[in-house]
Amino acid sequence: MTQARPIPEELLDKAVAKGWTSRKAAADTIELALAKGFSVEQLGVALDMGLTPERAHELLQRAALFVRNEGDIFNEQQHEYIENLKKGRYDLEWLHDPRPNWGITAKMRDAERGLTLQDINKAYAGEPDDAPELRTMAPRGAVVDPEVPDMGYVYNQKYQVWSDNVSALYEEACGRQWSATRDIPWDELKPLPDDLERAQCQIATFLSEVEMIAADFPAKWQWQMNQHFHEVKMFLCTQAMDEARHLEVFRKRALANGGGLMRCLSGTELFLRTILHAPTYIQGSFLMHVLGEGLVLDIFRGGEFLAKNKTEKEIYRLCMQDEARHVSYGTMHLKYFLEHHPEHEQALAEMHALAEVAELGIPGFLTNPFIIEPLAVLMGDGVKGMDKGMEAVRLVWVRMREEYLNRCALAGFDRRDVTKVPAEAPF
Amino acid sequence: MPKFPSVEWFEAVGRRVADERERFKHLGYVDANVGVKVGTGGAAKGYLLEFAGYGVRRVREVADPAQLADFTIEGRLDDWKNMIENIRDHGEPDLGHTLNRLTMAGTPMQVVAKDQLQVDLFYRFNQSIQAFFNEAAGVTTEFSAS
Repeated sequence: MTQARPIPEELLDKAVAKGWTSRKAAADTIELALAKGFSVEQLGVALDMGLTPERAHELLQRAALFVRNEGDIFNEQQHEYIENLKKGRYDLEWLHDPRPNWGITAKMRDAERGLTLQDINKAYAGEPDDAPELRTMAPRGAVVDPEVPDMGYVYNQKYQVWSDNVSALYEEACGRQWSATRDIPWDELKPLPDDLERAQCQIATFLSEVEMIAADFPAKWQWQMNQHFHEVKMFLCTQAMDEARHLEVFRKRALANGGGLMRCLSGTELFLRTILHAPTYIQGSFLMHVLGEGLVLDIFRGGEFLAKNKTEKEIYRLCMQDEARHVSYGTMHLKYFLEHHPEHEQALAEMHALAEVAELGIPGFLTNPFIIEPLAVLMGDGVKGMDKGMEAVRLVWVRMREEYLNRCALAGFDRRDVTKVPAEAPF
Repeated sequence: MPKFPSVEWFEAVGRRVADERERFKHLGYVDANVGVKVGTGGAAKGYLLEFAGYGVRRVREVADPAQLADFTIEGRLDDWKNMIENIRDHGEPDLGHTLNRLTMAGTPMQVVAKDQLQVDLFYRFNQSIQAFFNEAAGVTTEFSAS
């Protein structure tokens, strides 16, 4: 056991500055920690990283994990086990434990496809609880130690994160991964007239800017989701990978054909900031999955008009597939959220209040000259054909609105009669 | 020589897909029943392509594919013919004749479905469905009279 050491005043100052209740309470906890073998330096780092008094006590209660003799890397429990091993005695508790459900044999529905999440969910622990008791990373359906620590998850209710299509979407995402390096026919990219190259580069810059929000946003919330709902977290991981690839492919497009990265606007950044800093997951998910990615999905689909060669066509088509998965998750999550929220009417009213403000982003998006003019140039095959291109932009406006409203309706969130988005382009 | 549209024609394309299994596996599986409607009104012909895994499991002629399919691709015979001939001429569609391009707003063909989630399936599986129709390049095709 470590000898009692005086507690440095700076450490106490730091604890108090970090919000520990009193100097005396901090001193007691730090003294206990030092007695259990932690160093002053380690405690300083832990305080810098936000160690709370509650968390400190929780950790210190697990004394056996931390009690070590000076200079010894093993604790008493580990020494005991090592001694047993030396004598050829194994623990084997895990081997004789009667508690795990045993004899589970998940069957492949389709051998060619392989063993899917749906297959294993059908076999065992496939249906998550609405409100799991534990807050651990333990796999759903495993035997869990009674004294496991609380991970501090915030989203512990199924309705807060779930969508009924999430397992299928995860499998689909894994099956449809592609490489922006290998799977795009970059060698078919040919020099374009300056107006088309600038338009393509402006759109590529915009997409390279906005796409990564759909990786940053889920990353921010993911750790707060109870791991009982692992399918959601896994799907969001695929989304993050998708978005990294989208950033990559549009950055590559901007820099691969004699053009370059162009303008980024504060309005776009403000919208991205709104998503990133949304106060709850459902609010951010609606803003991003349903509204934002719904709009971008239509741009990707419109890539059929925007693409001037096979390279660009392939980029837009592959991104479209990815984006459609994200939108499908968001739509079905919104549906699940509203259908299972304990206070449905209030939740519905709050989502309508959010949508009322958020929908103003669509007209803002579609009257932004840095977005619609490059689109019109590409759709019209050049500045000279911009008027014709604007006709296509008007069609895009109508379709974006229609598909957005259709998705809302599917989620039980009827916005058709109250939407702020004009039915037709005002130009 | 299979005639378009017919069960035999879609099955001939499906056999070519089966021969290219590895390539289609790379694109990802498709879980969707895809309707195809050729023509309009009472003379229209309907087909249901049951995609499963990496190819088409079954093709059926049906009266109204929209009733059974997740989504249906509809067009006049001439539009389908233009697309298939374009695919045959180039080995794959040129920029103006992809399914996605031909089914956009203001274009001759359309994708219809009961709800938006099913329309979104067309987007999610687009690469595979396009690759399926691209195999028409290797099927010598006779067309029904317009």
